[in-house]
Amino acid sequence: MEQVLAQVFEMQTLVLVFAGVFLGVVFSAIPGLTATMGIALLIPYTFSLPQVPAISMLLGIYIGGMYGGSITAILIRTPGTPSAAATLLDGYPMAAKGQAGKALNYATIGSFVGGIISCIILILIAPQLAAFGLKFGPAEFFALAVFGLSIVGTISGKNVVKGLIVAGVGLFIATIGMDPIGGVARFTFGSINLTSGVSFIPALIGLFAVSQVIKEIEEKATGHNKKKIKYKRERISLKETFSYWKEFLRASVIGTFIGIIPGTGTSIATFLSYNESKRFAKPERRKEYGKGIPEGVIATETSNNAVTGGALIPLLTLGIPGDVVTAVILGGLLIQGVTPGPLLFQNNGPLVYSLFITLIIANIFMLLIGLFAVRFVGKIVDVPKNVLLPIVVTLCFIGSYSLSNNLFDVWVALAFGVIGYLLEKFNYPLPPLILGIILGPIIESNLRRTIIESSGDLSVFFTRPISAVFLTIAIVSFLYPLFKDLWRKLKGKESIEEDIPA
Amino acid sequence: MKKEGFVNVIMLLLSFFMLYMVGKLPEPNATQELGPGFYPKLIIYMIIVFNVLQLVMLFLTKVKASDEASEFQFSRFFIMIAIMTGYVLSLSYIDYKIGTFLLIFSLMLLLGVKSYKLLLSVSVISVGTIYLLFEVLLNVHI
Amino acid sequence: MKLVMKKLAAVGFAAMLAAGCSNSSASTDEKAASFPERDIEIIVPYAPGGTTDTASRALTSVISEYLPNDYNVNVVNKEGGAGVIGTTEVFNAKPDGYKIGMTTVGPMTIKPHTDNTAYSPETVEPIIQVVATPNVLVVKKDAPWQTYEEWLEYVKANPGKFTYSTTGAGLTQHITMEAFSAQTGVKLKHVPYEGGAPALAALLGGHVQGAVIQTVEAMPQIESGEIRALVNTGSFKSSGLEDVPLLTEKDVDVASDVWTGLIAPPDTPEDVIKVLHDSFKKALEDQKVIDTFAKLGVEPSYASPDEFAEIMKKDYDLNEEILKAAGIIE
Repeated sequence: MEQVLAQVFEMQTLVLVFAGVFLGVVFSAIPGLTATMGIALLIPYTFSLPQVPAISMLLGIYIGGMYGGSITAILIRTPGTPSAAATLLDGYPMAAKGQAGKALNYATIGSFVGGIISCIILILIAPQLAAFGLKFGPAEFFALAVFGLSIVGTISGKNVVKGLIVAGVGLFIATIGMDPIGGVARFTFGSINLTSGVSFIPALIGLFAVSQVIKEIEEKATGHNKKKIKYKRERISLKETFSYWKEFLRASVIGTFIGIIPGTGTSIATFLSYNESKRFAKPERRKEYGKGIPEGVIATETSNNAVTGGALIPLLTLGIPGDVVTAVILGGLLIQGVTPGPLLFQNNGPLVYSLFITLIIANIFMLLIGLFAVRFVGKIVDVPKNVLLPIVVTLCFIGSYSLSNNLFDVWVALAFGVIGYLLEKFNYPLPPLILGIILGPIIESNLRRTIIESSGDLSVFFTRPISAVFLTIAIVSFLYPLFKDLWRKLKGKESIEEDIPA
Repeated sequence: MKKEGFVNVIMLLLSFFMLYMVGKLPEPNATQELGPGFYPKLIIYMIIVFNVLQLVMLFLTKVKASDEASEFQFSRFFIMIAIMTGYVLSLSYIDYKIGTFLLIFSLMLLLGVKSYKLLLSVSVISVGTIYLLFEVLLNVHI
Repeated sequence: MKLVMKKLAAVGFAAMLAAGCSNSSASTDEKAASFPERDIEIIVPYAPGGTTDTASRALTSVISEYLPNDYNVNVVNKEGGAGVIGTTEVFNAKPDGYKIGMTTVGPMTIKPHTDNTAYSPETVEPIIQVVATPNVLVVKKDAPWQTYEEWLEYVKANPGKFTYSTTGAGLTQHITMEAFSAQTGVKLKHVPYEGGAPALAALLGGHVQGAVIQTVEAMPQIESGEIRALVNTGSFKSSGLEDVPLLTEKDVDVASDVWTGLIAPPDTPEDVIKVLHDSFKKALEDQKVIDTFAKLGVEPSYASPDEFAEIMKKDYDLNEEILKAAGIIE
């Protein structure tokens, strides 16, 4: 044990963890660069490093990468990574109200709390939880994804039907490309670029960032954006932070839980956490979601960093990576001669403990870097809009290109920018579209898998307990707001005041 | 606000076109029970139903929405889209540094920046930074 | 502040000019002689973390020592479509050697039959084969079958009952089992997943009864006793699995490995291919790569461009036969 501690607290390890966290934050904050890319780029460099420092650095990028996306999501409505897509639901409105400093602080603290709590769960009960993650078969994945889709009501704002239409469009966009079970090309119109589907990150960047730029430039003449917002470095007191303890805790648990299930992904965790935060809020507070309140930022940012500890559970105990980032980390571990799996804890006990300690250190570094960065990055808001917007849009285009060196992705970003702009113009909410694109593939492939396994028997969805629970909640959450909305509309009531709890 | 319904009409037309495309997908073979066409068809039906619902609601609803959205700056919107499209197009023909410079420059002009010093310096610094960050540091060749 | 701005502007402008100059000076004649003049990109048609990906990364970690002019090779993951997307991208790339691809059995010798791909083994330029891995049929530790014979008896008695997961529809694992079914008359139920890890997770979670995955992916769980290998469907026994029988030893004439090799777009100049082949061959013999491969459980398996072309062609024809026999294609 002493040996482990000595290794972890060596200068080299600490410096590399710090560098990793820093790089992770920068990579995920810039649209078009991702933490996955950062890790993949650095793996060859880690070949020549000793085990502990090498792995520590990779974990550092992972932790930092989960957090960094929130900065640009809050300040310029550009989610640097998919895991920050839900953060802009309340983060950007907060910045627009002049509370960017507050939002950034909450995002930082939330990320730290989520990271630490999930890390503790990882240390204490990893093997038991891993077994639970495996209970998720096709039927359960399908149910969970459908449940995720029921969030549409929550993130659609005032018009649920419009939200459902947009979600449907998102689900449809996700079917473009190779069919997940049979491998048949669908709706590609002969384009090779479309066989892998519409690239997600360019679509995300286009939908939120490019559309926002288009909107602000178009509105320039009408004088909508005359009001000047000055960036305030708002500190938040510990007391204020503690008043949201329920939010932190709930988001941490949801994030860790989703992380444990291989193949779900961080963005689902953030949307689910946002939804649950709203569901548990007091009715009068519920209306404020989406208009820029700390709860929204805390719920999403805490949950995405809580995924880190959760996702490491199946990775370390079973050798099964839950998403792309952990898959890259798995590659890095293997190359260092560490084979994650049931025997890791027996054969490599000291290493596992050093990993745990590194994770905690990485989270502390993230907190420090975040709190320090808040003092400066917020200044972006002070840059005049007519200088900032052209730069943002350029970064969006170049970033989309750099993801896979493909010009087609730049067209995707532009097309989605126009789509996003038009949808918002006609009061169609954008988040359901993203939700549809994220959940679509999971829903389809697992629906079809379930049917193959059960030979066409649909009752399995309701005879398997986990699936039955999720599907029941999903159906109720779908129908309730829909009927409520329809009824209200048909009665001709002024509906703006009341938001629908899902 | 009833004219807003044309959005739904467009979506309906697109949906029917996509239904036709689904019909051209291969039939499921023995090993796959649902086949590639089943799920997209389901989604398209869903989109159609909700669009029809939205149209019905638009015409039945008695709410008089304010005309806030009608201030639509067509010319500005189109100039901007043209600039951006031109930029993406230019990427395949001319060096991206020139294109990027022109993009930032022209968008700033559109936004009413009058100082030529500012126009030039911001454009040049941005291109330089992008070059250093992406091409030198990250090896992305555009 | 103003001064700083001016300085920055000057630096930025200088950088721009410098970049502009360096780009325009390259002419086509010099290309082959001084290849490479910049970093090379390897398209890996799978998500990061798999065998193909890690093996590529291990090779590229040392490649700059062997490549002329000290340039690097970067791995770019283009997953999707069971490897077809990444491979198609390589096929359509400019034939200058700066974009080459790792490819494997599935996208190269199976998908061209089923998917009407743009390429076929004859139309790409093989560079070198680097790795080959067999697949194993594994079941959970509490499964009733201890040996291949016991399992065979069960599946013969219960046609269409045994479910097994694989890395994806129409990939080696699936085709091998189809070939097995065609020869033995046994009916099995195939459930495709998106890669080896989810296929293994489905087995561990009890959602399928068996899994056919690469030995590398199965090793940690086999070593810990969580799963049991019944039979090896490849052509050789990998280390650690010497006592698992091959199908060919059980009188079933099925033996396909998952090989991985480098290809270049059609019409890539021969001298460029030669530079690439020589560098990668040296990298494959590098002690660091051998060690890394050993850790990954991957067997280095070299084949020259001509041999590699032959292997591709052989599997291509064989798979066509199997697919026809299984009724997947006409």
